[in-house]
Amino acid sequence: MSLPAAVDLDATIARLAAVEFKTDEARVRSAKSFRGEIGMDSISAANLLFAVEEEYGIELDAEEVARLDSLAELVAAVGRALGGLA
Amino acid sequence: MSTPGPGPGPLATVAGALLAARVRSIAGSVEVLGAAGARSRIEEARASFPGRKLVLFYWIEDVLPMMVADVHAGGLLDAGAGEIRFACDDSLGGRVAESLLSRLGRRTLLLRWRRPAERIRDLQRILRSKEPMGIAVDGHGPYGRVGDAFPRMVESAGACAVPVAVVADRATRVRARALLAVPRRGARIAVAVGPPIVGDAASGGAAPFQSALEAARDAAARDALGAAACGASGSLARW
Repeated sequence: MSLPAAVDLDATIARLAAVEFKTDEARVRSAKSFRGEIGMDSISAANLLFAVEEEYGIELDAEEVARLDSLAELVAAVGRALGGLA
Repeated sequence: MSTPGPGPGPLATVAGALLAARVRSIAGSVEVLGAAGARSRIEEARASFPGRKLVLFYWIEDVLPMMVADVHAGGLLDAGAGEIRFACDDSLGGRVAESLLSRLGRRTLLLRWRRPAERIRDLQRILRSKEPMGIAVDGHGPYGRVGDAFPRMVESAGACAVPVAVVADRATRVRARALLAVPRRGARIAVAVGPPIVGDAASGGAAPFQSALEAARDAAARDALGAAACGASGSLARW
């Protein structure tokens, strides 16, 4: 399986996050803090991770997951779990 | 069987063992009202929403009367629903409940709330699983109020949530780490199960869950205490 390009990763994760947070992708992209600006809580974090992990067939590190608070951080974590970006 | 994490610890283990012994010792002396009706309402909910995760929800105060009635009736809440897993958090009170339930042969489900990473993983596990579960929705206080997280959990899991109230006419209320009602020997214990609330309808927040549970408690109180002893919703807080 080829690794997804960074731009694909970013677009896909932004879409998954927008669905989970019931908002639009622009807001997901502009948010510096999912918790502070979009109201991410443990349940929505669990659901988002569920969606991301299913999408890419990966399991993210739980400690790292607990600290994720923005699209950039989430994309970076997924990229690392995939072993680097194409 | 419990999942996952270490055991309850010595203090919780001892407290759970003492409570389990108390539950067993009085279970034979109590009268249980409404057990058959409770079972059939749970079966109806299950049949009405096939494929959805069944979540029984109740106040923390009802756990001990529920366990006494469960031992008395030989599986009060399981009929038609498979074996319920009872959620217990990782507070001392939750660990005591885990120890108690395990000793009574019930399966538990550990929810580790203290550390965010573990909380997210445990929530993921719950949301994915289709196993029926039971959960006290006011376990962290304030007591008698449905917490904000529960409706979100029901909605996310697309679950079928069923309110359950179990009330004893004579009980000792103990406010230790959690609010407990310990039924007395010879107590009359009534069980009431309300109509289900499905996950799709859970986006309205805590209000429908609060109302459903209060109504179920009033119904159980009417049966246990007699109509004259019970008034409006929430009356049980005064007994």
